[in-house]
Amino acid sequence: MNTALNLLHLLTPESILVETILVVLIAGLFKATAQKRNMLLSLTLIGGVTAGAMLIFQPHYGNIANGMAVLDPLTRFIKVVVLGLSLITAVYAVQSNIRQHFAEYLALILFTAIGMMLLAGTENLLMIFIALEMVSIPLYLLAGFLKQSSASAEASLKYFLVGGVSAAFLLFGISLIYGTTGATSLRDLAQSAPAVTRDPLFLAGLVMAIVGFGFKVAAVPFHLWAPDVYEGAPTSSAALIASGSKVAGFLILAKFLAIGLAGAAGSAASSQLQPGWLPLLAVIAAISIVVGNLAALSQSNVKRILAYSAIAQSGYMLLGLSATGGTALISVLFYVVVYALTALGAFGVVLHVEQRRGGSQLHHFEGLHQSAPGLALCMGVFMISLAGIPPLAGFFGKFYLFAGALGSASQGGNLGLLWVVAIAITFNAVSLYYYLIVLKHVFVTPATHPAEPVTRRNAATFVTGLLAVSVFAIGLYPGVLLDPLRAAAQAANRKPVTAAPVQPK
Amino acid sequence: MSPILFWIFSALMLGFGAATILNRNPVASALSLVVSFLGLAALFFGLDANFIGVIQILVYAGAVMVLFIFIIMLLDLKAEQRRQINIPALLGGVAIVVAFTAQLVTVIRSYKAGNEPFAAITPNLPDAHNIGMTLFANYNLPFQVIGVLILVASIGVVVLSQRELK
Amino acid sequence: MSYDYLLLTIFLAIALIFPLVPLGLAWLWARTLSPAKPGHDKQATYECGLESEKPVQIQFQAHYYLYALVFLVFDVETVFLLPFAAMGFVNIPVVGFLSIMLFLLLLVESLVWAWAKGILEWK
Repeated sequence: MNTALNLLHLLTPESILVETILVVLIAGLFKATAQKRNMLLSLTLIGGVTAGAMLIFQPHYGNIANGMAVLDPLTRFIKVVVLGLSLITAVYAVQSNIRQHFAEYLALILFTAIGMMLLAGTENLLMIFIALEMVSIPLYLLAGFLKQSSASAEASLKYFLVGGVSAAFLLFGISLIYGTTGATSLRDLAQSAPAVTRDPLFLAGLVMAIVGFGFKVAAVPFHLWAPDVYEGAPTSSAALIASGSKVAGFLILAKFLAIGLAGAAGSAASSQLQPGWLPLLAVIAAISIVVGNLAALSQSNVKRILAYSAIAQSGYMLLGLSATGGTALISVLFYVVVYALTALGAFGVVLHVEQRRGGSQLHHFEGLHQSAPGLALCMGVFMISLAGIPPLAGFFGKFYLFAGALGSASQGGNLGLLWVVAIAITFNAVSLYYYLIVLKHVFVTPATHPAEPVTRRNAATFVTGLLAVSVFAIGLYPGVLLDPLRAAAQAANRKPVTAAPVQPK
Repeated sequence: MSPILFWIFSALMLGFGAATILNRNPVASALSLVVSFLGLAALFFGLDANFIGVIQILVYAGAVMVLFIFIIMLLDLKAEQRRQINIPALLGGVAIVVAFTAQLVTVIRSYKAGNEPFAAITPNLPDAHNIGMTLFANYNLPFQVIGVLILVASIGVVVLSQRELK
Repeated sequence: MSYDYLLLTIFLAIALIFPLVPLGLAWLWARTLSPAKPGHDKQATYECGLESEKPVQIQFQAHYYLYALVFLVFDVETVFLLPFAAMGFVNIPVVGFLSIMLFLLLLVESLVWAWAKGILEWK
């Protein structure tokens, strides 16, 4: 009984979201009126904001059933972030061209949010898998929501097939890890992993699990689904795939490696290679950065550019993970959150252009600064931040990441990871080209499309503007985001587990 | 389980298993497979493995068979009915089965553990009850999340396959 | 322990050699001794199979699949309800009872929703 109360207490926000979904689904059954979409959106937002408020008033620490659900300040922070990203996606959805089953669309966004929150708040292999499915399955559906468009169906099918394969890899890997260590909880795993680091079965499990996660975060060579999905899926769905699922995915990858497998890290320093997940991650990071940035150069569709940019950014984040060895997650999480805000904002601009001009090719962006000067400015902020130019937030993300990689003590002395960082910085310069190409079409190339009426403000553009302002603010004063993250991480480290694990009856 | 019942259900299972392969009509094959599954489920019940028996019926005879029938309808398999029996292939197949069975029998004969009687099964073990206790006590949260996940699945089915209103 | 894996490795190597060597030989054979001669029969869709005799894009009633898929969903739910049914009301812990009620709530919601969407009516 105590367990159930604890569980309910710890997962109140998630329960509220489930209830919101039930209400939204029923409300969606009523007869369509002019105000129905806004009514559904406000229901969703009310539920979401209530859940967010509950999150803030929750107890500081909790641990149920040996890590199946945990709560600490860092987890809570990430939960708030993914919930916020999901709600912004819901706001985008109202402006999108989804006509049929709108209530179900919002419900699926909330389902994804629940999945991401559960994923952020677990330290147990079983729950990691179930929560990942809880994120992925609604995303497959969201990607295929435009039933008239064959591109959307293709995106959904590809995403589903690749996602299914990756889930199989992950599950097989997890089962091998469980088979060799006998632990599903990450903290138990940390105890028993060092004894089996040379066991080939364990290493095979480790590699398979990383392959599974690699698919989810779209790192090269598991990235092939990303461009087609970003291009074909409805823009609001693509925004969620690019932002929220990335934050949750990287947090859980970091937890999996840093908490569970800290003993099996190995070393990726060029002078003293040792087997483990660190060298694997460093190599994946390096090729993601190279392939992502090079492939983005030849794209003519902004969504595809964003997709390849996302692949490259995944590479940077993996570099952060491999550099710190997970001991200082902060710079990676800072980077991921900033990236998610930026990508979400960029998709907001794409959504606007798509609705107004019927496409997201580069030429559709021509002369945007005349018809929608505010949004053009936002796009400028997002692109420059993605390219990592000061004084925007993306610069500080990259700065902390690279500095951490160079100074990382876990790499056996300084500059062990210099080779990856050198690749990353070189290709960051390459990436400037395609980000500026987008901006060239926005600001310089004269409009060839017939002039459209000046944009009336709506909720989506307002939110996009807000995102741009926040990216700008974090750039001017990184402490806005860095301080809470740092405090949360310190608090989480100082007092890892307080509640006694629940004994099985 | 009395030996007579065991032989009856085994014969049912094997007979309809053979019918699955021999039938020319794919739908008849699929239905023979259902009966074969039912025989297997009965064997499970005979071993007091009630939970697995019920799962066998629900999942295999229910869900998996629906998927089979799906595929049969989707592919509209008719060509199978006109196919001639290939005598050499048939003989080859029979030879392999005989060889495999002979090998299996010799191995089991010579393998020491194969000649010992099985340890007695605890009779009337409340397996469904035990599974329920584990599910509700230790794995309550995953159980709940799977409930939500199934709701997602049913929404997804309808959203993706309902005919668009024109 | 290392010996086990050594044996496995050798086994793997042999298992790879056996298919790869004949494939290589066959490739050499094809390269040197048998030049390509395309013909009508060789170019057929199924060289050794049955020609399809009518259009493959048949029409089928999509509604049946909806029924069947909804059935699948509820069928899987039954698996979880079974332990609850077998435990009886007396033996079940309060937690179990509450969680199964929540589970049933979700199930009923999806049934009501599907019903209202008109999925359960044959059109």
